[in-house]
Amino acid sequence: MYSYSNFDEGFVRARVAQFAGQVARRLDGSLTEDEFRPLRLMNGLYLQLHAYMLRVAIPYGTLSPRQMRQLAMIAETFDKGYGHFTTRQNIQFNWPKLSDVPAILGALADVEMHAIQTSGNCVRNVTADHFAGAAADEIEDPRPYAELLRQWSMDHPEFQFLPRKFKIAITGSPHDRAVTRAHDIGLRMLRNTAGEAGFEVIVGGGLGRTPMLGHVVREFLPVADLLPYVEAVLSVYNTLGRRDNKYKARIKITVHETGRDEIARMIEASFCTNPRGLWRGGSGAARGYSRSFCPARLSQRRNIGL
Amino acid sequence: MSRPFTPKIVTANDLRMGDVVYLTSAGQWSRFHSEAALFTVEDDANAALASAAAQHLLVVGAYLAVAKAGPAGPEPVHFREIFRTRGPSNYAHGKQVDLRAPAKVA
Repeated sequence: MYSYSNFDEGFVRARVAQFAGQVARRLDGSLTEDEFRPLRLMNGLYLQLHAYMLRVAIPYGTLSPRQMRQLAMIAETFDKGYGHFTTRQNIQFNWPKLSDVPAILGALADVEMHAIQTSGNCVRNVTADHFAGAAADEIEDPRPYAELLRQWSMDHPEFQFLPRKFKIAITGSPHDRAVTRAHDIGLRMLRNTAGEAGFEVIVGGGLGRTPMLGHVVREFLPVADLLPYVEAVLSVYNTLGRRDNKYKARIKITVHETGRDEIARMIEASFCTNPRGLWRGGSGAARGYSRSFCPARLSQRRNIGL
Repeated sequence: MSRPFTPKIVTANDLRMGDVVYLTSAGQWSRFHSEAALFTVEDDANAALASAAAQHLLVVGAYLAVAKAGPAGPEPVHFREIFRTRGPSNYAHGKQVDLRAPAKVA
């Protein structure tokens, strides 16, 4: 599994300390609810019909036994002894008390987990094929690329106030098990005629009240261009996406209203202006992360035909 | 011509716990809808709501909800408010379990 660097550790710990201060200021009246609400949402804390709900990210669905035990400890100590695993590889605790949330976030940080960007109009938890690293038909393990996207999107200053939430899914297999066509961006790994690995890029899919299948905007994207291309997609959406009506604010509506060809043209134009030299480290970093993800020790990988 | 005022209660979520609370006639917050004060005069309801909204150290998101008088106290009318009195509907893990005895907060 990916292990936090000193930077990751410091970043998450600093966020926990910030949120502890924000909760204290809300409870003593220094912050109003209107001031506090965006702060709690940035840290995955909702106030729902019956109680608070804390959504914790499980990046690309990978969870160690140590992390699982810590989630159980949190459920037993701070909640009602259970949590709800979601379809997008999060876990939700449905009954936390506001004053306990900083301690919960601290306990999550102890096992390299957090609730950052699990709410709000930002890039949400990046999801992957749940058989990543163990699938027989896998071209490459998608998790290093998912980790790269997680780090790139974390606190990205340009993409903290998007028109609406933004979800990315990635699969390393031609056979899609990550529901890539129902995501804002779906990345499906494949090989070109030269045998090089890359991604088919799908944009504008989604479920909810207006379900839509995404459109392929790039049939083959070299892995080295992953970050500048995804950044181009986000930039176009950030400019075009509707902010006047939350029900029409997702990129699926933007693609539907603008048209696949025009959106693809705008993305390519933005991509071409991105100084790609700045991104060279990205694919190298992903290769570095791949050492963190051990292949599953299976006697043989079998196609499971899902 | 304005629509006639329908009786209402003041409800909110508890700031610390996040659960559903109702403003009583004593100006306190109860977990029980039946203990809520039922306002039949619009100005009284609006004044109670203003008072509740000012209690931002105790509650979040106070609003007026339609209710009707019942034998044991005010009863909810809208399905959302009926739902809020009970907790999640999938199985008993909300108020159904926790609220075995009346309790006041704040």
